[in-house]
Amino acid sequence: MADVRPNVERPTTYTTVHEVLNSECESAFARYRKLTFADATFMRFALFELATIFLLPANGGVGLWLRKKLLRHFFGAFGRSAIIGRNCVFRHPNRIFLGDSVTVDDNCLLDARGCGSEGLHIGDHTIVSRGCTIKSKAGGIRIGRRVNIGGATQIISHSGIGIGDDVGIGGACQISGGTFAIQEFSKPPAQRTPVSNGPIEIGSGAWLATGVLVLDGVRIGEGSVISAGSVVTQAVGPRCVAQGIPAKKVFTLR
Amino acid sequence: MEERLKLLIAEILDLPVDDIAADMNRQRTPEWDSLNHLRLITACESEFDIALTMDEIAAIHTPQHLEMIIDSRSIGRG
Repeated sequence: MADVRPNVERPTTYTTVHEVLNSECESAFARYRKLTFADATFMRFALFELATIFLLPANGGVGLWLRKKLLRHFFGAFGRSAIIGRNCVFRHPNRIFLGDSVTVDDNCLLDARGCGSEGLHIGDHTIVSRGCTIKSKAGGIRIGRRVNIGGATQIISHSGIGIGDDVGIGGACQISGGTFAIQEFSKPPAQRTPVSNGPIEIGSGAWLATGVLVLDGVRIGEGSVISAGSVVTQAVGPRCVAQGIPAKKVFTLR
Repeated sequence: MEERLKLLIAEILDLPVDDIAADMNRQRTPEWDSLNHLRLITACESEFDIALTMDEIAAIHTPQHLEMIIDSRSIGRG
């Protein structure tokens, strides 16, 4: 199981992207840099910008080879034989740690803005299919080994996400969730303080079918199966089959 | 087929009782999907006080087969 500490007792709040973009004390360039590669020196930032312009859209095998050889220098870790597809977007790549033989297909977004020192880790042999978003607004993200993430899935951390080894995640799943502070309902939504009920943990060997929504503070046990279109609002035990909105256990695998 | 089992299958699959035949096949019955299969097994285990293995659960494709397993367990219990 990935190492993400539960924090269900005290909801977590964090800085929103709106607060960064609407900061009037900084120039547009400084705000852009803060959102894309805050920790880098100017030279490193400029080189990454060049790589973004010329390497990320490059076609064919040459494009794959160039990305593999040149992008690795910007990442926290870049395992052997990692494959990066076309037109991916990487924000704060120095906090992104890719294991060996990781595949990130075309048009994915990996954003480690809120990860801090915990980083965004993707384990060996994991496949991130086309059009996925893996993003941290707050808290680390740890994805285990041999995980298969279906196309157009969104994994968005509000206070940490841990996904174990050998997990299957279907297409168009949403592993996210979060709400606003209830005492601020008199404010417009964009001005309310976002709140999370804690990290999401998905145990090794679990399978989320297509279109599953997993809310914050939820733990899904090892080897469990969540049926297509379910909304998981509460913990699901190990080796359970759960279904529905909200997802309820219908069977225990034996 | 035993009436209790027939009623159970009809209730879980949301089909008229008259449509439940001993030889109806899981693969040719759209209502008998994987989740309803698990629901049916759970209901049978509770109703007939038996426990099936995952291999048995996976092998069941007709009410006849299910009934056969239930009967064998009941006989085994004496």
